[in-house]
Amino acid sequence: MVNISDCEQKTDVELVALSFKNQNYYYFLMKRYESVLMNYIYRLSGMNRMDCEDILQEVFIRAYQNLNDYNENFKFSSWIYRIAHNYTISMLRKRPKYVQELSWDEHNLEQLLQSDFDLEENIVQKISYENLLHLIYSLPLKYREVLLLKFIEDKDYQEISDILRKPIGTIGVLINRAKKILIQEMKKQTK
Amino acid sequence: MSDISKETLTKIKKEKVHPRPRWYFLTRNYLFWFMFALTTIMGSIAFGMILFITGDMDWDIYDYLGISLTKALLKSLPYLWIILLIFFLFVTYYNFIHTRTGYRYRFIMILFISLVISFGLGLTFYYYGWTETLDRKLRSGVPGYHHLVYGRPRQWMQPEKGLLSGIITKVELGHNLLTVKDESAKEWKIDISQAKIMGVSLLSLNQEIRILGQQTGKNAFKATEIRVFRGLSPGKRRRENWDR
Repeated sequence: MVNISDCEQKTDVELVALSFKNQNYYYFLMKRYESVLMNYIYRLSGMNRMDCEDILQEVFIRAYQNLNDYNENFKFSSWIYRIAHNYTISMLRKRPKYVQELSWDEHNLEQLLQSDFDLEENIVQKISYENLLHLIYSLPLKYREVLLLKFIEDKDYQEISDILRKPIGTIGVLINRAKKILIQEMKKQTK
Repeated sequence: MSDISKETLTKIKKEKVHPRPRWYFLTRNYLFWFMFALTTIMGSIAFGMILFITGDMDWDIYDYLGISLTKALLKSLPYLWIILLIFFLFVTYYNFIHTRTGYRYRFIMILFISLVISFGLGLTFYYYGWTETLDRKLRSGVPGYHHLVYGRPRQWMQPEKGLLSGIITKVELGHNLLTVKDESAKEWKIDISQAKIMGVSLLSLNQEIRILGQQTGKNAFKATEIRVFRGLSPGKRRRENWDR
């Protein structure tokens, strides 16, 4: 019998270990990541809710099948984000038409701009939410994904490195380039 | 939003989904490490072969032939082994980044480490003469290899340009004549009356020699300089000197 309040106290690593013995524990692990991963898939893919739910279900099944691949020296969140990321990207490649759907809300964008973007205030005021969203979605995926993970998902460089399986230095370079391109495009829009 | 977690758990139970065993992932990880080690060794062999082939060639004869060093280099580089070295370096990189934490390292760093290992091991292979043995085996056992890799034997098989190499099959010092069998088993009569002999004081049977001079007939050659094949890698040479 699985005790709910007991599970809430447990760490991800403990829940992983328990999931091997009893599948019901895996439910609590999924529950813990359900909404964050759903949002991540939604923002990354721009697909509709139904498709995102299908993707998320497949992500959880894949994560369960690969549970023995999880290394306790890494954050469980990075590991499951990586599975979600890879599967979402593979689905996007199969159905690229969905890429154009816009799904970051205004709050997300404010967060992004208020972070260390170092923008002149007049640019922020002049650019509309829709325009900014279009600019972000017009960025190549490699830039869009780092912006999303850094400024919306609030992941640190090490976590982003583990999710995207790229060196930390490369992540830093990608974020800087993405910021530069975005600022340039915003300036062009406000002229 | 529906309870995806609950639906997923039901699906997992219904479809009897189970985690893959740990050995599956460990094997996969070790396989990448094994491939990393294997391709590093292959890269080292390629580097050792580059060292041997370039070191084995006589670069001074281009001066004799009136060819510039740049042209000589372009003509003589072992392109096959250079391409193989580059190929193995990239395969090594691919295998490394697919190990559990390989992705954390930068391309340049992985490439640099692979290069250092390949150079170090390649130098060892060359020093102990393994690359020399391999080169001989490839030249004698793999058809077309000598066409792909320039090397010393081809460098010295240009009698029309005054370069010849082979094994001494007969010595007639009284007549200042040597009989030499070249790589294609053709026998040559060598006039050594005006030849300068380098490397040894006495020519003897079964010695491998290289001859500078001029072709005087279909099977005749007049030597101006004879070099005895040194052909041993540094390690082998050192051991031979030690045995003496």
